Amino acid sequence: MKARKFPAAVAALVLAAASLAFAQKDPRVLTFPDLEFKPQKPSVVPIKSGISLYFKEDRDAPAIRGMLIFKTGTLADPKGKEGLAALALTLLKSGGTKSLAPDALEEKLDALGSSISCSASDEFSSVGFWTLKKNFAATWAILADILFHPAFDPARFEMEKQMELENIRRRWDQPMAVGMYLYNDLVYGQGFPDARRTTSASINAISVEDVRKFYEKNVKDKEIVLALAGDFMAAEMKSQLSRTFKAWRAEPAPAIVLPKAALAAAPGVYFINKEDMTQAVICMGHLGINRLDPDNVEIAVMNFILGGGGFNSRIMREVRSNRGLAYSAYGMVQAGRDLGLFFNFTQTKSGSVGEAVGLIKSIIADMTRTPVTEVELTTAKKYEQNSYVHRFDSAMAVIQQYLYLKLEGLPDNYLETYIPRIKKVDAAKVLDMAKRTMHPESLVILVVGKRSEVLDQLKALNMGEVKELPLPKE
Amino acid sequence: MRKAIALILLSAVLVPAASGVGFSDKVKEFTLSNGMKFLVYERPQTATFAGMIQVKVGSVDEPMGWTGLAHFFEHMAFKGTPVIGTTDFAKEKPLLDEMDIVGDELNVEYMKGPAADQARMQALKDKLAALQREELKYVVKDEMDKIYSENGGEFLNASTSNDTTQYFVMLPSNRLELWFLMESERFKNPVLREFYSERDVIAEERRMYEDNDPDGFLSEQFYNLAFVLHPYRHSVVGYMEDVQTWSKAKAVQFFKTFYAPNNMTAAVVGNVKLAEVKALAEKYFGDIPRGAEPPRPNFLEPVQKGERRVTVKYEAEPRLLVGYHMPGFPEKDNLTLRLIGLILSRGDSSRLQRDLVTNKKLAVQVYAGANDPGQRYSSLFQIYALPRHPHTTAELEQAVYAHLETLKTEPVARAELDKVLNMAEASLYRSIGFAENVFLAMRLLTNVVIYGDINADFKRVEAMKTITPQDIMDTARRTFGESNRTVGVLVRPASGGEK
Repeated sequence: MKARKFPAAVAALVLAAASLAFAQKDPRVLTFPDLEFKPQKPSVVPIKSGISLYFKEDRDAPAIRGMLIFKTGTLADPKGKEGLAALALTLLKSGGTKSLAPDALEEKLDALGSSISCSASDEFSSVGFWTLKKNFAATWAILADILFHPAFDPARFEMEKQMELENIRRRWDQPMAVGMYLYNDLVYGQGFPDARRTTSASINAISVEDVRKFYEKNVKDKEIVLALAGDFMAAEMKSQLSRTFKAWRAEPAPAIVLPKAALAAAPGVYFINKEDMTQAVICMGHLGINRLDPDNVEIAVMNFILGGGGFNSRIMREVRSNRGLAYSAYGMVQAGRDLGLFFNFTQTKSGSVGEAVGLIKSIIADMTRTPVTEVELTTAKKYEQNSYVHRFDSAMAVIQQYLYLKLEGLPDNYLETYIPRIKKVDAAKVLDMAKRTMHPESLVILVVGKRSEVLDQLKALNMGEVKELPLPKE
Repeated sequence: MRKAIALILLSAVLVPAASGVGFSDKVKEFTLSNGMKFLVYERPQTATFAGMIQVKVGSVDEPMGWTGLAHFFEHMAFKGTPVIGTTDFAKEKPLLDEMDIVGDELNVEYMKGPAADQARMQALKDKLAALQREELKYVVKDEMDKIYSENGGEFLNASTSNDTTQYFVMLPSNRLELWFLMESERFKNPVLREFYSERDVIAEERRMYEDNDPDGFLSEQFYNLAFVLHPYRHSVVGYMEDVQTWSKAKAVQFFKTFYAPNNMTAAVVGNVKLAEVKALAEKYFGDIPRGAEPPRPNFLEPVQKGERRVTVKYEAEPRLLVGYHMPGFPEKDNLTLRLIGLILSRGDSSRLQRDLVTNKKLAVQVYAGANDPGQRYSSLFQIYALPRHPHTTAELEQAVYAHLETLKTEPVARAELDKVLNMAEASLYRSIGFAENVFLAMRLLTNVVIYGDINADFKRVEAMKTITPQDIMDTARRTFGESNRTVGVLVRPASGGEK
């Protein structure tokens, strides 16, 4: 590392800045070898055909946590019934079981100090739990009851439905949410899986029968990926799980159809008026990459330099640190199921919206024209290499690294090759990736803010006509 | 250059194991002769550790006109030293001094309020910006962050609450000495560079979390009303008017007052060895002289003599805040009110969740809890609730009061108490997962810095077990009176605005 010697004579000046005079220590005198690090691995065993268990024992606390993952999710929602998967998973627990009414089930779990939570994401759904070791048997029995004998209590169904309707009403309460939801609309197009959201009509179209059918079709007797971490004995646990799932057929879940993404909105500037805002929300970008993209590791270096590396990234440095225009500012090319987003974001006072948009656009453009500096490259690569260890910093973290590898279809050697791939990235590679994944002339820009203070600045950007969109009701 | 080397007396104190369970058998504690305390939790499971330094200074320590300074200094503590963050401090320093002169002139003008000379203000701002551009020639941007990042630092951040400020990072375990060097340097030799642009960043942070966020918007007005005198009344980020007029002199004075080693506690959690931590603590922090005990807010909030109520208009769905003044730790009522918070809203089967959310469907979210917004001083028992359309905050408010009345008149059944105590006990072992070492460090520090006992959270649960149904009724009667109540309501403007 380059040494910057600090002349002693200058030290007197320091007195003015700090209250005490100390010998200033330069961290560059300390050198550390790059971390040679072999990721820990979870144990993986089949419980039966269609049910695999990833586990890691950990006796630091007398507790056990786990997750059952099902290969279904919101992508399985039929058109017009958006919200079905989420409601079905919520109801799995909230709706009680054939022998335990909802109130009694909740009472029992609370009395154990245990928790069970069911949720749906796009491709996967999960039933997670946490329990003290001493209450594992009782908690597991409730969880199995939920899986095998859910009752989908109609009163609870009504309550969860009303809850979601209220969440829809509250969706635009946070300015950031307005920007993010509607940006997805623009880029993917309404109705595309990544942009789909519940509406009061879609929630009202769902019946408790739909929920039951969703469970029967996509969850019941379907394959399960199990993750367990904590204070248990593996042999004992395996025989417990075998007993539990003896009667579970564990068949493949119905395949989820993944449509192809295409940029839905014409590039340009879009504006949504929200009269009460003194700070505008800015979203800029277009479509990103597939998670199996050949550069899906190397792209991390580019993202770090562009806007993913916090204060070491250009967007944060210029928008926030140098100009004081924002508190939050970032950007990155994200990998997605089909295509993720290339997404850049900031929030700035109404008066500096034009400046912030212009700045981010020029930062993006520069990434595609000029090679990044050696200093930037070194910081990004060293960060990736030396911080890699944190991805494996708890028993559950270790499990999840390997488990999602499989679920997302990444190659088996992905984790082992990660660091070697990072090490090979150079400035030319970053430039290539930037050229391929960022298109500064075709950005879709969405600004949510106060019209009277923001619109003229957007027009002055000379990026074509500013298209004003209504704030949708939901 | 004076090299201040204090005589270091390292006093290792092995906390005796408590009769019950707790951290004391796992966490070693030692104090340097200058009063700086270290907590070390060896967790060798993975090759990482988390380091956190907690300073007992929060927004509660700010006098009027200085609001937000604790948080602002937290930001400034990332700006480096005469060695870190600059290519040539000798050339940079005069620019920093000149900026402060211009900054002070700008503050004077700003304080004239409506009478301020706008043209002069703009000229001064332009001058500041020009000097800032000049200074940037010497600044190595965010070098502290860069050094940590290159060394595998993750989750590098800091946070400020009403009560405390904490600085933290997770690092590979072979970087322990780097952590000591960086953290000691930022407090020994801070250079408050990029002061004025960072002030603007804070203004944006305020716009984001207070002015353009319904919860922040309501809570600021709510606390302003609930507290007449006590500094829990102002938000952590501070008033915009104060933010705009922080001066370098104020920030330096604030730092000198509160960043004494005897007001700082560190926790190191992860794959580290006690002996090494001790040696490095001595090497890097041992030479800071002990400071004067910082002044503390010396106010007793006047007894409230009638209900206070504020309604704010904002373009968002309604929300409700209710607060009752309550005694601080270690008053017994404080603990009883913590227990009452659990009875009311911890878990799906808790009273408010079951009755107001699940059964009556008046609300989509309800929370009740003690010690808001802080734990160091007498604070509020707070209820936060979101009504479900078409129900109103008024209906919800009455429904909440009915539950508080029940607590005054009907003894809580043993089974319900046992359930709540089980939940409290279980939560002692719940780890967060991601950044587990960081959150553990925070827990240890809160126990020691706020409650003076490494096992405080474990002991609290033990002590809760001695609370009787009669105690709960007595405390509820003392606390939940109309004249002790502040109510904050957020509703949409009557016009309906743009929606």
